[in-house]
Amino acid sequence: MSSRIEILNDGGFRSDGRKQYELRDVLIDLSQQGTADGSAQISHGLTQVLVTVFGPREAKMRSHTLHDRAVLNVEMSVAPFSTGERRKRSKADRRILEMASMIASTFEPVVQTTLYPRSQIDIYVHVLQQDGSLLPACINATTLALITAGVPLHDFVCAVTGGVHSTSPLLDLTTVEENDIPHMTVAVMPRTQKVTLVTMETRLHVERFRELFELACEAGQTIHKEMKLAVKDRTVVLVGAMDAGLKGVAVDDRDRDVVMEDRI
Amino acid sequence: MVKPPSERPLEGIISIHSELSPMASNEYEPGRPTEEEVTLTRMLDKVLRRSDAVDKESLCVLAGQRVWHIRLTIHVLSDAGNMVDCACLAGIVALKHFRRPEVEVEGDEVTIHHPSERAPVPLSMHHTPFCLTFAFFQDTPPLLDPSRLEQTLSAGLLSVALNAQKELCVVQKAGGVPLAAEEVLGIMDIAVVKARELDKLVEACLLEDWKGRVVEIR
Repeated sequence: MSSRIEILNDGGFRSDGRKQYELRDVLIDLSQQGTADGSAQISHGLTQVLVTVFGPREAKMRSHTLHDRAVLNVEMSVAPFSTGERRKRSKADRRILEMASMIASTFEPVVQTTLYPRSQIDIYVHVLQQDGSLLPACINATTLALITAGVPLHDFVCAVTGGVHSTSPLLDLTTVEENDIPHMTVAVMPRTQKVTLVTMETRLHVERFRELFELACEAGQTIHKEMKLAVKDRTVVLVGAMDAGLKGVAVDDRDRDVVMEDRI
Repeated sequence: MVKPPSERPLEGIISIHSELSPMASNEYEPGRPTEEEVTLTRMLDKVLRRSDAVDKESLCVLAGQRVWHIRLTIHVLSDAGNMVDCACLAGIVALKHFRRPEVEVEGDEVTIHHPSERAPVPLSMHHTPFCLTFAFFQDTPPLLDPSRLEQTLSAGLLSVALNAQKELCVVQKAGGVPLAAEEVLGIMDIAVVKARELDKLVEACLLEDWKGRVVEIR
């Protein structure tokens, strides 16, 4: 563990000018992507992930279905230009496979799969840019994509990373910070305040873990507010468009008819 | 002994291989790695390698030219549940028990002393992580070290790797039944106690084994 870069300076600022508990900008785009039933693009600072959801639909392979609930199929691809160093990762990379299976098992108890027996929900995760907190970005984007696809969920799933620099906890880490300090990812369900996913790969004392864990749970609630706002905004736009559309189409048709008749 | 990769000239190499054959359990079939196998290899990699259990710099003989390459292979003979914990324990004990031949460096000359000439030396270890897996159910309290049946029936697994110094190395809970924060923290407290017990057991076993290997001094 090298510490050439100052993670937290004397003024209490981090390498990118944030405070200890400050999250990066969260930008959410819920616009339609191609033929997908639902899609969401989320960026946490410079980390950007696009998730598209297809389904619930009939499975391509009949043998992969379950008779009493839907199957979640998560496929993840990492763009070669997503990191500073251009490197092509194969889809069979163990790290990517593990992340995809983590996303699938996180959402299995959250999605009400029992409503769609013998069907399949495809979740395609595309990583466009990486700058730390990759798994949380994927999870948050997947939640939003499932919501825009109209798949019934028990609750949101909001994820965030946390790290500890000597004794001071930090939230929402960048790649630089992730490489240097112990960090973990926590995914919470804000309504029930329960934790669906915890992962940590680096050494950390139990007491520090406790502190960070509680902090990350709290940060999850903040992310939730942001996500809820985005969903609400989109719904308002959609409902508005529906109203305007109904009226607009009627007026348009009449106008067009006149024009057509004129031409004839 | 191999040449180190150019990006890490000062560190030795540890590679971990795990073999899941159909012999272990009737659920495994040869061929494509299954999800279970991916989890096992990733967990072993995290617990034994990424947690810095072995001091990799001590495996360096000549910077940028020669380092030790340690190859750890885990054969799963039979799986009656909770294979991950067992494999991690076997791996860490194997690393602690292993003795490598002593080397001497004079300038650019490297001499490897045969074990019959000089007593082999143990690897230098930073700490010994132990992996503990808990299984969760809908309405019964969590179980430590689930058997195959319990594992199949469970609604979620949580794996914790930590050492006797109360330092967590790996926490892995991917999905499964959602837990309250207090529950997770309660699990950690149990894991701390269990890890201490395991540490004592391992140390005692290694000590006993070491007594049986009398080093002859000529």
